[in-house]
Amino acid sequence: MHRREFIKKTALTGAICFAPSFLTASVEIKKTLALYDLQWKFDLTAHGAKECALWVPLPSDVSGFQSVLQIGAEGTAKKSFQTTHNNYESATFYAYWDNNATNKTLDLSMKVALRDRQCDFKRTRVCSDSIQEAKEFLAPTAHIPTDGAVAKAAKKIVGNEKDPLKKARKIYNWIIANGYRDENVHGCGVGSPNAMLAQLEKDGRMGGKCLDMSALCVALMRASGIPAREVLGIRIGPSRLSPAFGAKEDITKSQHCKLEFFIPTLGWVPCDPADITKLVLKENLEKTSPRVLELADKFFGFWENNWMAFNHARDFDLYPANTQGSLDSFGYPYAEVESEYLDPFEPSAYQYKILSKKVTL
Amino acid sequence: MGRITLGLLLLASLAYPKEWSLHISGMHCIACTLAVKKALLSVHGVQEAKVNFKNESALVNTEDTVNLKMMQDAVAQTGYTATLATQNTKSN
Repeated sequence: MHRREFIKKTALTGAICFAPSFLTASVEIKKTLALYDLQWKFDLTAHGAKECALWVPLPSDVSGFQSVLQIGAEGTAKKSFQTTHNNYESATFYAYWDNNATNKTLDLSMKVALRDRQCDFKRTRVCSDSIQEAKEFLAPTAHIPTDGAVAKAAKKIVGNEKDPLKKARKIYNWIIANGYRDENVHGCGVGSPNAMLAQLEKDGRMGGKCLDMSALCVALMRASGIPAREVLGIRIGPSRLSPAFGAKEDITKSQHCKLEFFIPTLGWVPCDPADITKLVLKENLEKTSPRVLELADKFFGFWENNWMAFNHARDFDLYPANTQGSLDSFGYPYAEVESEYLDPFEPSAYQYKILSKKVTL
Repeated sequence: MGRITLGLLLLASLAYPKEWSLHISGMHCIACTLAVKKALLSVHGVQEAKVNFKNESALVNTEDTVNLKMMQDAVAQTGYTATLATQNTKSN
């Protein structure tokens, strides 16, 4: 990207950054819990006399945001169990059918309670263990580089800013200013920061979906010395803020990736720049419109209680080990048929459905 | 006569299928295996292709009419590179 263009984009970033704070007053925070019943139905019977293995990402508790009240399983698998035995302790349900199984089905049911997650920007006490643990999320991974083009872009965006929260905000705003939602992207995207930056260099803007935007934001934050991680999850109900952020009862295709970053005086701070680019597209809004500015301000430090988190795993090994090697992310169920990866976007080969119902406490 | 020749050619291709072991470079995640597999299966005469991300490899069963370049060209169109690891002629 040319220098002049970079400055122009940065000016828009500034407009978002200095949006009047009163705009946020209209977004009400729900302190009450929303309770959801979820049903996952898998059917791999179409693969006949072939060996099948399935790993399903499960939700786990997130302090102050998400409580998993119950998980149940029924099916015909020869072997099945829950595990968190992997690098990121990501909750996983594993099921295995041998080639004798003529009927290969699995039904998972779960009950999850969610409340809005709003960062209290006045909080000042975070325990030293948490600060130490967060440092793990400064390191690069196979798909989250922090050198080369990422380091160069991070330096340009952050400039001489020293305050980590202000640095994070600059990066968040820059993603919104330069990114657009590309509906042609498969699923949540591939989450490649370098691919996004290359596109920006070539076209002057970068298109993608939630994993693409979140991965780039995470990479830029890590390169700027701020621990950060993507959080893979799924929308499980309607949004109070926009239909763009919500889901109906069939949530099979409602996977969504957000992110969080760590500030030593605040702890993990939730945010979601990708959903602002989705809002712009779905509601046909200008990025400088009051509604976009309001919600962009809101989503820096906020997750709504209609989205359920799975894990923050990137570039990790499943347990039990799969044949294909490390997964780059784990937001979709992962399956192998006779050691071959099964396309989760190909319903004829891979039948599964996820249903969600909001219930009363 | 022509029909007999065609028939013999067909029989020959069924009788001597080839098994190729290819090295695939450029795959950056497991989902890339789907693109490589699709490219290989698009080559006329490729019967089966199993692609592995961890080993950067593909095992391909083809008819006798398929050569390495045909598969390399198809894979290259998707942005990956295929090179020969080994090639066997199956004994039936």
